[in-house]
Amino acid sequence: MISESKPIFVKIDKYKEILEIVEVINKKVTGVKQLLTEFEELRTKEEEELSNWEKNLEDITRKVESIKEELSSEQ
Amino acid sequence: MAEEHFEQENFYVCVKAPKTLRRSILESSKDTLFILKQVYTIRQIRDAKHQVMAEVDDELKELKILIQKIDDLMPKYNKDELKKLIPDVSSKRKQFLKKEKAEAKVKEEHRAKQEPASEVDKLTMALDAIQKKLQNL
Repeated sequence: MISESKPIFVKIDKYKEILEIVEVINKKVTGVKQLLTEFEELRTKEEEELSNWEKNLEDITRKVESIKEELSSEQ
Repeated sequence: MAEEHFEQENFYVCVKAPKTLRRSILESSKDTLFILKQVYTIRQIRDAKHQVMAEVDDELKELKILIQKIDDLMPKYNKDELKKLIPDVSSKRKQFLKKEKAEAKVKEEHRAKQEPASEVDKLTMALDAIQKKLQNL
């Protein structure tokens, strides 16, 4: 097992290239985080729209019911 | 009696509050049109969501490739070199690893016999492999 107390030194041939890739990865991770925030906002907006939709449907049902009552009430 | 009335083409109804009725009809029409408009809005939101998801998917695929590239660039050591670097590998540990390897092989064979791996299966396998590497550290 690798001892935690003793560091080991290994040769990395393309050290700079690795650092560059790590940099690109960091940028991409930031980009993905932004996309996820955007996704979350869209989801909230969708939920709001669906909630409004439901509310409007209830309004329509109520109004149609009152129209029906008005037309079928005792003359 | 009522059924007879409904069968007639012309049927006269007394509307007690015509203004209210008219208002109700117009408002119902307005709400219906508003709902139709909302359908389009929701469809647009869903399209945008799918687009974002596709972008996230692409980015994650690229990240996977980049991480693989780093893994390839990192030095690889054979057993002898590792023995020199890590001389205190216990026999118990070796036995444990051997047993684990055998179990993994059996599992792999079993999995291979089953249907071809899906994208999720591939990801699970990749995760298992990384988990094993971490455990072996």
